[in-house]
Amino acid sequence: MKRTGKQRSSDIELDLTSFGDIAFLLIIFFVLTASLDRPFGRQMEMPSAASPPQGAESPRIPTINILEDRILYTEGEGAERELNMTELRGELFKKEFPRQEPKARLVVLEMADTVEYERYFQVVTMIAETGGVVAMLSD
Amino acid sequence: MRKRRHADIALSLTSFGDIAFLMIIFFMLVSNFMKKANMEITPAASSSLEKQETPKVSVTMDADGAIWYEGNQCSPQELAGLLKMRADDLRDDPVHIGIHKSHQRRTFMPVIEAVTEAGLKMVLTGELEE
Repeated sequence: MKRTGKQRSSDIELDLTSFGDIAFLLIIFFVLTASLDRPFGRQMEMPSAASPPQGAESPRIPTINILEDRILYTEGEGAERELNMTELRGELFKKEFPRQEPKARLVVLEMADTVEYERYFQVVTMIAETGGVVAMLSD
Repeated sequence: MRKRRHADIALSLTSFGDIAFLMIIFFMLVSNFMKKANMEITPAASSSLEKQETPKVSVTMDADGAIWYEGNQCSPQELAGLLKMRADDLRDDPVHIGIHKSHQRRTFMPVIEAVTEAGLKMVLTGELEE
């Protein structure tokens, strides 16, 4: 007996129920394991240097010395001043780094061996936020 | 008749399967597979942070001082070597660095030096301080 085209199409229909079940199990797996949150952070421009960067003797290069319990700030040959984080932010914003040429955006950073990462993190991210480039002095 | 009525209400699940697989592909591409799930780390906080792109490569130093590169533990020397090997691949993508907040300079600085030595860009990650 000759079949019509319509009848033949319904004869080969696939049962996709189990296919859908597997697909949803996979979706549940990926939803649970995926971390969609974008992290908070700050991109750093941080040239490595074993000695003071060129121009560090220039009168206007700021130097930040992070100690365990305080932060000391100097500009060139000026007197060393103890600053809190808010005052330091003010000083760095006053420098208007984004308007300066790259060489004039350097901020020299010195740090004691016992300084904790969070203190270092707060200072370097603040320097980056104001447009400065951290020049780390290593031993 | 009962049997006939049952056949009349059969649903076509073809498009359902298509949508499900599109969702699977989406989650496969965006997921990080909980690489940090077994690490104990209290991130440092700062008010100077902003949202970053999802990292291509991340380095973490946990509370015990262990360094994790892409979910595998390594030493600072090994980290420097691994990063140098991928330097060409990572030229445009910064390495995300997360370090436990109470480590001292002598502990955490080798990680930062390894990244700078490899000539790569870096993003220091942490918690946004309100």
